[in-house]
Amino acid sequence: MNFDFVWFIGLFPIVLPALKLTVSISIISLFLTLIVSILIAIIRYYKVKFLYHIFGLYITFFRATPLVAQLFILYFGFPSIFPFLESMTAFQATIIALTLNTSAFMAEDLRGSLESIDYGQNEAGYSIGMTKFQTMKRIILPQAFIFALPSIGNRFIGIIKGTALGFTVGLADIMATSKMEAALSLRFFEAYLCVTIIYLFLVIIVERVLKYIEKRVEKVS
Amino acid sequence: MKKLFKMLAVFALISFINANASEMPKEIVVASGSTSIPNSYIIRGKHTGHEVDIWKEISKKTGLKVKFITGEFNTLFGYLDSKKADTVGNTITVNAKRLEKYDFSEPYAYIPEKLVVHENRTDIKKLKDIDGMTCGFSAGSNGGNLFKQIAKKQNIKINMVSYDSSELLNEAFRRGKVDVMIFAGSEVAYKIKIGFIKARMVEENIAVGAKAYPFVKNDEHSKQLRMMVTKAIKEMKKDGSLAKIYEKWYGMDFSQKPKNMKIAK
Repeated sequence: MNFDFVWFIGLFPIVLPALKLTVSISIISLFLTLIVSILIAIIRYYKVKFLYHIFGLYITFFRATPLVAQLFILYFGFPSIFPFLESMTAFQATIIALTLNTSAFMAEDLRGSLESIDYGQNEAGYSIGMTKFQTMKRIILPQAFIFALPSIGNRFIGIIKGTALGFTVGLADIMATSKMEAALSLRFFEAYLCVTIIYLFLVIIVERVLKYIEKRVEKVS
Repeated sequence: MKKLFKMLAVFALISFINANASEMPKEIVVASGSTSIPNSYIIRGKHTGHEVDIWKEISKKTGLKVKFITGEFNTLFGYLDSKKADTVGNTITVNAKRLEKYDFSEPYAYIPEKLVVHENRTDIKKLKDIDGMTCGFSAGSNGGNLFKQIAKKQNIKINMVSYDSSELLNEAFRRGKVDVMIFAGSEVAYKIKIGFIKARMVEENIAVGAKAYPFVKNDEHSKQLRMMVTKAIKEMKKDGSLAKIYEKWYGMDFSQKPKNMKIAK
C-alpha cells in the first residue's frame, strides 16, 4: 500500500471549497423537506379524503426506489417528456430529488410522533373554542416536533450523505472534486479517505447542533 | 515441545517465502471495467472488449494464465492497490503524475483525445471554436484535465462539467445538457460506428495519449509480471497481432506511435 501522505494532505485545500455546494444543498433540502413532510404528516394524521391515499402512494414510491434512480429519472428522463423542465439545473435536480425522497421518510416519522400525542388534547383544544388548525399549530405539532427531533436529525444526516449522488448529474460537490483529483494521479484510496473525513466532521458538527437544540427544547417543555 | 513448534513455524515460513521468490509467475489478475464500451464491458454476463482480446494474446505469448476482475472505473485501482489484482486493463493513459505512483508497461496504444459535438455542428473544426459552450467529461478520464490546461493557455472560455461515468456523459449529451463531450477518439469512433451516439469528432486533437498497463512499484512479483507483459506487447507490435485487434474493433490501427505527434505526459 503506497499511501501518499503529502498528496493526501494537499487534497484538502482543493476539495474543501466544494463543501459550500454540499452544505447549501443539504440546508436547502432540509428546509424544504420539513415543509413538505409536515404537510403530508398532518394530512395523513387527519386522514383527509383522497389526499390521504395519494400521499400514501407517494410515500410507498419514494421509500421503495433508490435515490440514484429517482435523481436520474428527474434530471434526464422527465425533461424529454415535459419540455418546461429542460431548464432545470443539476443543482435544482439534486435538491428536488433529495427533498422528495427524504420527505417520504420524514412524513412517516412525523405522523408517528403526531399519533403519540394523546387524542384528548385535540378535544381539549376544541372545547376552549380553538379550530382544528389552531389546535394543531399551538398544541399538537409543537409537542410532536420535540418527539420527532432525533429522527429529523437522522434524516438530515441522510441528506448530507445523499448530496454525494449529485455527481451522477454532473454536480461538482466534494465527492466529485476529490474523484477528479484522484483520476489525475490514480490515487483513489487517498481521495475516498479525504471525503470520508470531511463528511465525518460535517456530521459531528450537525450532531452537536442537534444535541444543543434538544437540550434547549427540554428546558422549555 | 514449544521450541520445536517455534522452529517448525520458522522453517515453514522460510520455505514459503523461498517458494514464492524463486518461481516465475504463472498467473496474472487483471482488473477491467464492466461498462467501458468497447474497451472492456460485460454483455449478457459475458466479459468482452478489445482488452479481453489483447490479454488472450498476451497469455499466448507469455504462458500466463489471465484472470479478470471487473468493476466500475473508480474501483479498479482499489483492486490494484490492495493486491487483489496485478494490473488494470482499461486503456489507462500514462501521465507524469500517474508515473509517480505506478510503473507502466510498454504502451500498447496511442489514442487521440477528441472533442465530440452534435452532427449538425460542422462549423466547429478547431478547439477554440467551442468557446462559451458547456463541455462534459468523464471524471476518471485524462482528456478533461488535458483540455482544461489547453483552454487556459489558448484563453478558451468554457464551462466544464464532470460526470461519474461515460454512460452518464453520453446521456447528458443526448439530452442537450452539455454541448461538447471529451472522449478518447477510439471510443467515439466505435460508438458512432454502431449508432450508439449521433455525433461528430472535432478535427483538431486535444492531445494523443499513450495507453499502458499500470503495476505497483517496489514489488518483485509485480516487476516480473511487468517485464513479461512488456516483452509480449513489443512482440505483438512487431508481428501485427495488436494492429489486428484494433482493426477488428475500430476499423483503424491505434497500436503504432503517430509520427511527429507530441505525446501528452
